[in-house]
Amino acid sequence: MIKYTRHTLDNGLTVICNTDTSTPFVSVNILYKVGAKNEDPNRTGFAHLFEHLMFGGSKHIPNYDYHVQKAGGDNNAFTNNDYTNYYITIPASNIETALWLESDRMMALDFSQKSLDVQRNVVIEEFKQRYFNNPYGDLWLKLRPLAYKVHPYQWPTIGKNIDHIAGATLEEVKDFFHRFYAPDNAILSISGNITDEKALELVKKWFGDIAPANYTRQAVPVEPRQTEERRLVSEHNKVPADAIYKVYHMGDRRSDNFYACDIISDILSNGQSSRLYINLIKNGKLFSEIDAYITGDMDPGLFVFSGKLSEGVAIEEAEAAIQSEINHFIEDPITERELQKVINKTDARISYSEINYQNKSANLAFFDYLGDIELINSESKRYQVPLDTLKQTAKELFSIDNCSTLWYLKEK
Amino acid sequence: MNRNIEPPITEISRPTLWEHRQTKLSNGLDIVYLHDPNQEVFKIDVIVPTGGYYQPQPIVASTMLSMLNEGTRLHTSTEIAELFDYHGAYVDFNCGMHKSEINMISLNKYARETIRMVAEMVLESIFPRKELEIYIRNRKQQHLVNIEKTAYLARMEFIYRLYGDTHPYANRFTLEDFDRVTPDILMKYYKERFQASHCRIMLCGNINDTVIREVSEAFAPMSNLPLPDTQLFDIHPYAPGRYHVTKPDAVQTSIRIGKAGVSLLDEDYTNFQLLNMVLGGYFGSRLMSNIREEKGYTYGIGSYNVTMPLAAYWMIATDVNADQAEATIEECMKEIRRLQTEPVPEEELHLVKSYFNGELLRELDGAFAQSDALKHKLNYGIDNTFYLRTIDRIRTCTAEDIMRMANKYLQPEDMYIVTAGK
Repeated sequence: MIKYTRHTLDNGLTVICNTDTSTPFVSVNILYKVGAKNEDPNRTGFAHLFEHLMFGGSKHIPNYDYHVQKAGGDNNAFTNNDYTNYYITIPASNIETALWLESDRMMALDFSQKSLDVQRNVVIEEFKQRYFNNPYGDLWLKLRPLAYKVHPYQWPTIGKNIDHIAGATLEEVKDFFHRFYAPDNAILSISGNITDEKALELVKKWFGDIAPANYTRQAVPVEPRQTEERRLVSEHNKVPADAIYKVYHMGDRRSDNFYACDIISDILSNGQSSRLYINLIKNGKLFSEIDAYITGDMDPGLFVFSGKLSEGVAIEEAEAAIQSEINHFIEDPITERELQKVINKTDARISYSEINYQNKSANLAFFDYLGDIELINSESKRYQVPLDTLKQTAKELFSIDNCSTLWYLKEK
Repeated sequence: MNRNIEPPITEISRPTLWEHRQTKLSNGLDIVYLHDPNQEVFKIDVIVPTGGYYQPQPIVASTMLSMLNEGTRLHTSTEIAELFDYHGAYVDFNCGMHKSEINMISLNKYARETIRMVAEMVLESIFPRKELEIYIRNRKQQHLVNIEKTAYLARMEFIYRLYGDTHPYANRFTLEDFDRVTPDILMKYYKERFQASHCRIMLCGNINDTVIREVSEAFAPMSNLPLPDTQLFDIHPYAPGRYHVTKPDAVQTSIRIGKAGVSLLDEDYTNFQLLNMVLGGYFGSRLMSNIREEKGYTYGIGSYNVTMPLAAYWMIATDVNADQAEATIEECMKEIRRLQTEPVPEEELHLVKSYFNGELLRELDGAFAQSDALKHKLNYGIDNTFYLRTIDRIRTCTAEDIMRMANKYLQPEDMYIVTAGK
């Protein structure tokens, strides 16, 4: 049970506080409600590039990192399709340093051509390191546009291609900042060795006078229902083994469908006692790796099967084996023990995640963004899904019309 | 409010060390634990005297360890996995050079079931042939993926040149070595080396009486024979200089620059750590500022001192735009020379010291972190008071000390400069 308090300042900033006296640190976590899905289709990768620019200095503070490090702090950030998250962990007595830094860059980032020029190159190298200099690295660049025709999940956070990043201009950077980086588009959560009252008082002191953006967000286009099977074959990849990916559209992060799909994926492939591991790796020897998981996006996401084939196995045979596991799931009984196992694992996972104050602050902000902060304490209840609902969900989910398949083949 | 004035910074507090307790079973097994009554979970680490340094042939130590959950006298691999999965416990194996670990995190309410199964793996594994075949097949495939990565190729080439053809720290093996591992070899190795008085169990989290009792009972039957004599190896390094691994289509070049490092127990360790930090040990380091933030050649660059019981190595690691590899190497050497000839400005040294102090406090934040820190230090015959001594050393380190370290340890003619790429 995580105790927290939640307030909204006059300028729209949401403030969440959680006291944890087991650590000498505090985590100051800021979630901005902007991700790759809010990008222009002709300028993708922008939210992530912008995250890099947030470390280039602000109006009163030319060197962000310098002050974090001097106060014994550590910081990092990540961007995904739905949001951008920044955090600093810092000795609790130095929390004001973190609030000073974060409030200053929320109020007025220092836009510099030099910083943009350099970070464009850094991000291009990141693109190469993750996507091109890494076996199987580019498969989501192929899979996303196959599965999504309209919704911006069709591109990864790094962007559709390097040219989009190379072409970003300073004007676009400024525009992006003024739209999305404002108190009324952010959630600030603090967890650590400080009372809720003190934390709130200091947040008001540093953030209270920042003007809201009052920007009306454009609706993100909705992906129409897929009506026929899609297939793509990618050949001549420099990889040691063929790989197969099968993805299915599922519900959004708030829906009951999300929890049902999460359980289905766990029954199929969470741990070495799961069905796919035993049937397809251990006994079938068809795959060296096989996984079923959900992407966990806020908007309707994907249920994913991904597998690397064992040497000498034909890809048709591998695909048929996955299909047979799907049929088996829909047609044959799920045991109570299988279900209980997933529930126990989920409970344990939640318990482990509560150990760390930084996790707590990030989770509090995320659940608030989802629209129901109380989920942080009640989410395990949503995993109590009846067996027949699971089967019904699987039957609808795994329909052939809802499927996109990618064969990712090695060089012959 | 004046935003030009930074809020006052208080000096970083000294870490409070958790008191650990220690007990020994009658077979000599050492049990060390840190109790945090506020947790509802606990972690157990079983530390065993196996690893790359002591193995009859390549791959054996890591295979033996990874196969511990693949079958015991009483349970099949699926039953073992089922038990841990059902109780929400996570098991992990960590193979080192001289010590290896079996780790498990579990809910306290299932302590009895999960601890017993860990003990069963440590005491009664059988290494079934079928599971071994699957394991080896998958590991071979993982190896084939690895050798497609320039970062992997550069690192392997670096330790090879540094430690030579025969020393285990070079971690040499071929694809054929995978096929030479048999259940008998694993069993013999396991039986020889899992001896109670050479092992240690670390417990942390909620270590109530039940946990202690279960561990004591479950591990009481562990055998305790003397370890066999071990072969000692000499290091026969190649000459320092340039080495290249060709990977024709690579879009980036991986660079490793380094040499022998400084051991954890060396007098110079803390000062050298500070030097390393200035150069490449944190986000604001000179290498990051120069190669990433100034020139944009890379997504990241860092330097590390890796210490092992019989040797240490130090290296700079980065993956850069293939066209900028030579320029990057040149800048790295320039930054090293600058540290050898110019004292680090007071402000920068102060910054690095503060950051280092913060890092140490972080390494000791909470029972789980303190236990991990202690586990590592006990392998070197010291404990977490090491951190307090380090903090005192940080305080007294001067810019002259840093320059002395740079001249003593970072001589360019001693460097191995390894590239992997086109």
